[in-house]
Amino acid sequence: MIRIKLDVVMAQRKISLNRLSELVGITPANLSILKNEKGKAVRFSTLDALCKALDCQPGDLMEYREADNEGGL
Amino acid sequence: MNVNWFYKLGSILCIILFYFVSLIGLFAIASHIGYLYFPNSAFTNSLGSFDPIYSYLVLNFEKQPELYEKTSFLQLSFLSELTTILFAAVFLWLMHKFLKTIVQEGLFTYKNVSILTKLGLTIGILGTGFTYTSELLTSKAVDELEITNASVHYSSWFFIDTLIGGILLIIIASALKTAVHAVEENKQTI
Repeated sequence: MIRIKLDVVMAQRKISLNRLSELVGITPANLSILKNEKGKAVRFSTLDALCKALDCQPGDLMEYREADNEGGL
Repeated sequence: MNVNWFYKLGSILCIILFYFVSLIGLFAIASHIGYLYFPNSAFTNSLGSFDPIYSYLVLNFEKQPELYEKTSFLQLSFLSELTTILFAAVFLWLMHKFLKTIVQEGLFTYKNVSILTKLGLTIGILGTGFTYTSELLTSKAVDELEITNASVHYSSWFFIDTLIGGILLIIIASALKTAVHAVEENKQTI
């Protein structure tokens, strides 16, 4: 399963959810859904904006793990 | 162009017609029960002689034919009116719900898929039943006509139209389900 590591990168960059939402142009509510792994899919444009705002690679924001029946995309 | 007012108006019109048709239906059913099971009651006598309603033609006999006194013909007329009223009432109720959902939640909802499928089944089953029994009734009445120098027989296949219409609507509902699925998927994409 795909696990989202957005909270880790945000903590490393010391950026708040509200600030990030302003930078990428996504509502804090949707960003929170993504951060908490409640979303079903991510657009390339969202990924692009996140990578640009956080200066990272897509692989830094998500990783693949063996399924453990817990949340995730 | 905002066409919501059009759907809203349609929805209101459908619910008004639904109650109107239901009232007429209750009266039609009561009168047929009267003619069939209580022919000598005061209620039946107040209605006058039996005169069935034909969907596709106006037919007035100068003298009441024997056919109108036959129980089988009365039963067929009862069945025809029952399916007509049921078809009209269910159709209007579902159309009201369909238009109301479009106004409140939009077209692409799973609720509309269910309503459209029910509409298809209503047209396919009740609509076909209504057209078929109505045609049968008309055919029996036309056979009673005595025309010199010609022979007349009423035969029609109008019920095929409603059957095809019903099937088509079920197919459209199935297509709408796929579209709703895509819309919902898109909604969940961040």
